[in-house]
Amino acid sequence: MKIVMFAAVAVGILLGFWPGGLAAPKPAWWRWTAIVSMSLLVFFAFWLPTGGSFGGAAMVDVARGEGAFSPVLVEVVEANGSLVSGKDILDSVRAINISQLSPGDQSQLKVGERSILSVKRNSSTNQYEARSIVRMNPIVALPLLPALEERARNLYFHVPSAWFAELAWIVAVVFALRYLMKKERSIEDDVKASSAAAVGALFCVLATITGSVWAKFNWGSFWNWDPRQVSIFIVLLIYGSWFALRSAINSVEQRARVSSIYLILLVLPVTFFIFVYPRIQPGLHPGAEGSGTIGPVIDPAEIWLNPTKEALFSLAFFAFSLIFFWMVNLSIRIRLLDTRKPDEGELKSVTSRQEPVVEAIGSGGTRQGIGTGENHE
Amino acid sequence: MNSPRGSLTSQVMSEGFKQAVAVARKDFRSELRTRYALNATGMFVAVVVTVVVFAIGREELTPPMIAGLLWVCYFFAGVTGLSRSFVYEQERETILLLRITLSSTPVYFGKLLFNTTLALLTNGLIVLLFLIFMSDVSGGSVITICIVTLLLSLGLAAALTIVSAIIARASARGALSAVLAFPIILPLIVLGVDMLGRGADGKSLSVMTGELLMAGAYVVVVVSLSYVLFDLLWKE
Repeated sequence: MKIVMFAAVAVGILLGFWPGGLAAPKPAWWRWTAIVSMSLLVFFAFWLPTGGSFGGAAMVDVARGEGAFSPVLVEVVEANGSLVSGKDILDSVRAINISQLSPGDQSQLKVGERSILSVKRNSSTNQYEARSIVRMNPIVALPLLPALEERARNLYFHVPSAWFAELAWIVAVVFALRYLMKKERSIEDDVKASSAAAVGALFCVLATITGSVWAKFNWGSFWNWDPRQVSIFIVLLIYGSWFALRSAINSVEQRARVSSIYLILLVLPVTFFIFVYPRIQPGLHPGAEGSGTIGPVIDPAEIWLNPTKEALFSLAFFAFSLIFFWMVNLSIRIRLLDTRKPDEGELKSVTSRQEPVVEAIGSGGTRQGIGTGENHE
Repeated sequence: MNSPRGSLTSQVMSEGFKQAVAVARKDFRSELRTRYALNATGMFVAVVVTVVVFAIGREELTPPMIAGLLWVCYFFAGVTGLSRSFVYEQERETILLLRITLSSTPVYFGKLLFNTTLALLTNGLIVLLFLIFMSDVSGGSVITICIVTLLLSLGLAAALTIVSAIIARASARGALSAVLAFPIILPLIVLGVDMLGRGADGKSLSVMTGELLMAGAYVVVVVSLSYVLFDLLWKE
């Protein structure tokens, strides 16, 4: 089933380059697909209810130690006044005391009905007490992760941001290589590389922000120097130093060549810090040394990812790839307008007029030609 | 079989080697005349080590702290001294002469040779001063620290030679050298801090074979990558 997720990424990347390549204006259907898939992602990630098992609820209870309520997806197998027996997704049956629910809610819980109940465990009687009905007959429910609970919804935004921060890097390197390898070097390739890197840096910041807010509520502080936090920090630094180099070179061709070379040199540390370092160090993220997996999303074993989550992840990767490529596309087109040589017609219309025009060019001179020393970052 | 082609290749090789040595010798000679590295870098090392000694006061140093302090000295001494190799050619406008007379390969390897020697000298001086002034350092395994330092010097020289060539093309060079060198040296820093820390803890080299191999691989990868990329950088 992981194939669906990787197919979503592949189709997303394909749509980034098609139709017409990375720099061509995107048709309306393309833009609507991006908007609709992102909206669907936001809607599903927040609207789908979480519904776990009694085992999960017990683990939350043990972890929090305060009689915490957790959502459990049950099918009523026996109704007996204020006491019902519910069967969860793992087929374990427990007695649930529903006396705290309103009479209307109590009457909804008939035999055979599926519902997500917010329950807490009473350790002395080993019964569960229901506080409220979260949702009756849910179509699908997200799994209850004992350490993350409702905070797990951040996964569908945090993980794709981090992925595209790194994918942007690969796109930039490919275009830098293309720039250097071609006999007829085209500045367009450099514009593509730098646009991808700029959007990648933005996604890097997004991944850092979503991650550190999540870390505050899950691990206790905004920054823990977990290996993956170290690696995203270093990728940010690397993006920063690349842009620092670019802004220090004035000639457009020189900048394109030297920064492409530096970008290729940076492949070594980026590969080390993204793919190797977080996996050889013990850490808090899944996928660290000793966690038994190389990462729940990319691990080929099915056990690490629930099918519902996998479907949402597929949607998330698809939506993020379209948004990413759309931003890259716009950025490339804006920069190409900046570096474009004026057409002959434009030149004529400028030169045929008299003095005041020179002032007009001077004051509105944001559109600079090649080699004017204006840097575009 | 000794084909004429083979002998031609070896002739070109030895010619290239001679040219590389000539570039390095030119650098040594001009170094002996100006004594920039000897004075400035040597004094820089002395000042940095003194600052470290005064900063720690009578604090007892743990092995990881020693490793960190050593790395801070290596990194900044390297960035100050080694990243100049192409920059001063650019500043004195002698780079054009090199470009006219030589192809990229001998220039790169000549500069690498000079930088490696310089890195070994400065880092050797740093280790020596640390050993003299800090009893905590000499309590560890001196041989391990020295051999790891040797390997790290090779890595630093390899990384800073290509960074220097890149910086020579940019403006605001002083501030840029540390910024550009840092990401490239970082994998080496991670490995080096680990190895130096264990060395300061008195461990022998045999417990860190994996790290030593990785650091060796780092040097090989950086040199071969730089060799390819420098050619692109050298041609206008």
